[in-house]
Amino acid sequence: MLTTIEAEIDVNGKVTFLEPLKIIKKRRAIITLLDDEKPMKQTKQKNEIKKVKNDVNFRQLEWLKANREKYAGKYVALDGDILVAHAETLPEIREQVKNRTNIFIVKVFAEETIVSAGL
Amino acid sequence: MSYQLEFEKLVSFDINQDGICLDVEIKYEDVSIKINAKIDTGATYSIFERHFAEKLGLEIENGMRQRFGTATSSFYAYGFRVTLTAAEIELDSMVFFAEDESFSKNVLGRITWLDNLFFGLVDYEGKIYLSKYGDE
Repeated sequence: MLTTIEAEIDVNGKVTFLEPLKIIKKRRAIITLLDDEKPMKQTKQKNEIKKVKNDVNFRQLEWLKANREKYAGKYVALDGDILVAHAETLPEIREQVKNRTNIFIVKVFAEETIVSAGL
Repeated sequence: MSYQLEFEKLVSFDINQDGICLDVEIKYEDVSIKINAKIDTGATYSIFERHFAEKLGLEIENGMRQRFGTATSSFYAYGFRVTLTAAEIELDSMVFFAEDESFSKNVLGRITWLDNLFFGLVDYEGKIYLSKYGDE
């Protein structure tokens, strides 16, 4: 699959990616140099916001993978990848984080616990 | 005694379809896909076919592995943090993608979707009423 991401190259040839790039094996790349600098800076600001959100999603997933066994069967509330509350029920945890914003709440289970797929 | 709820959104569904389905958008980083998924109050999480994860650019085995059970069997799926939008209601969600390529169901479940909503259903008329919980 082809992936296009924005990057900056400084006069020394150092490449700085402006958005997250996750690859699991060595990949070939073709670099196209753009002429226009101004739109790049505007895009950079947008990308910074997007990057933060994407990083948060990634870090939260990593936290959940690392800690789900410890909190199995409970609701956890994450601010980024920081645990700010945990509780047995959704109303309890909502109450604990009611004055916070941008909190992600999810119930986790041990990997081998069979949870319902419905269907 | 009577009770009254108010909802922000009203969406229609096809009453001739097998199940009550909604169009949803899943977004991960810059990529978004649209899926028609069945609402399933018996599903703990939302689960989708594997190929949708691949369309989103996800390496599925990098997700949070979880065992799921049906009435007759069990299977594994991998969870990811995504943005899930249905009826213009955008939610930060944890959704799962089945490990097995032959898995051919797409369901909207409880955790990080239904548990974030006020949900009203009039099956006879093919209408679903929705609001984001906490926005009232």
